[in-house]
Amino acid sequence: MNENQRTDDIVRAWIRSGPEQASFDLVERTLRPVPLMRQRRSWRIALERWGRPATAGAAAVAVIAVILVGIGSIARFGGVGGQPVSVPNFSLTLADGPGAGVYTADTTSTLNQCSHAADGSWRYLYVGGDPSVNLDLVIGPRAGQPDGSSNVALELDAGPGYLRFDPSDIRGGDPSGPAGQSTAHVEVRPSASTTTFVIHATTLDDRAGDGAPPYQVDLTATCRN
Amino acid sequence: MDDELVARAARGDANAFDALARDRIDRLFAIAFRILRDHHDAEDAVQHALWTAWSDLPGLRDPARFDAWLYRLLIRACYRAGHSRRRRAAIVSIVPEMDDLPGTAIADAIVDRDALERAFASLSTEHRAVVVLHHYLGLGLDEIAAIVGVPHGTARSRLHYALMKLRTTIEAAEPATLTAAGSGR
Repeated sequence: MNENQRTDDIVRAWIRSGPEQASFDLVERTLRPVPLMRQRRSWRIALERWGRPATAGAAAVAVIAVILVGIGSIARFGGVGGQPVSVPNFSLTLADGPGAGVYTADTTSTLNQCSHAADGSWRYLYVGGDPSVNLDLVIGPRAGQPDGSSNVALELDAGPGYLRFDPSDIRGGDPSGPAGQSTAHVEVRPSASTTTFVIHATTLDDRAGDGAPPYQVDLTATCRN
Repeated sequence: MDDELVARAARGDANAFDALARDRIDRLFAIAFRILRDHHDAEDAVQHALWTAWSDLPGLRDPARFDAWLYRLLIRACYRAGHSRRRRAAIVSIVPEMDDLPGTAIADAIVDRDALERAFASLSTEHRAVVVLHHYLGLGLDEIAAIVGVPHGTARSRLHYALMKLRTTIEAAEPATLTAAGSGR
């Protein structure tokens, strides 16, 4: 047996060791919400497959969706002005790129969850809407401090767009684009019952192609304390 | 049979999707764990892949390609989890859960498992995915290339690079351990 074959056998045996079963909790946690989740219509997926030519259409649909969500919210809460707002929620505006448009939290979302860790950090996870939004926002524990405005990270799928930015100390290592092209600042606005994070960032969209400029991201997220 | 379930699930039948997912979730988790080497990240990746599968299933043209398509979603979810872990670790000081890694007599007897873990961890998620698809699922390079969405040559070079790195680690381990491994087959 040659040396490479022998070491490959060792690697194979090591790779094959390990768990073979998902936990019961994972199975239930994953499959229970499925009947409540909406499927994307096939024409939308086909449009996204074609890429950027669909951008304008997607943006138009996003605007229509926002209007419909707005109308739905008004109907649900009985009008505007001083009415209760469900929390957590967010409002997101992408100025350019494949996912350009305005997105808000959908009250029928699959996942809409805010958590406040013992170390003071916050994490907001959201999956839902049509166009679909998948948002993973982390606000670091230093964000509320005078020098902590860049203590924020985001990973986001919004319609056909995909972008992310890292906390400033690892931003230079992002392999998806030239170092230092992302900027992000967060302002923390606490109140008695909620905490609102106002984020302004510029970052690359990984699906926009080489040479595309960084895009403006404006995100306001509100969590219950 | 599965093609019929896939077609029903694509038309919005959640029970059909449930049956498909329950049949595959163990395998999905096993793959994700081997790529990410972290129990929680693997669970996140599986969950994300299955939810995306349900959401995007109406766009799947060929039900017979369901498994390959699902693997592709899982690999993407693993990439995402890999990047996410790095991002979260930078911002909230996540401690690696090395103690969670299950051991087996085989792996422990073969080689210094910590050294292998470290060598594997130093590979990018993209490289790890190719190694796992090849050595765990037993897929050929054409299938791997299709699943990860890269040309055949890229898949081959990723596998070559990853195995070179792992071989170097193994060969640096104690000769006595290696001898035991060789005779144990």
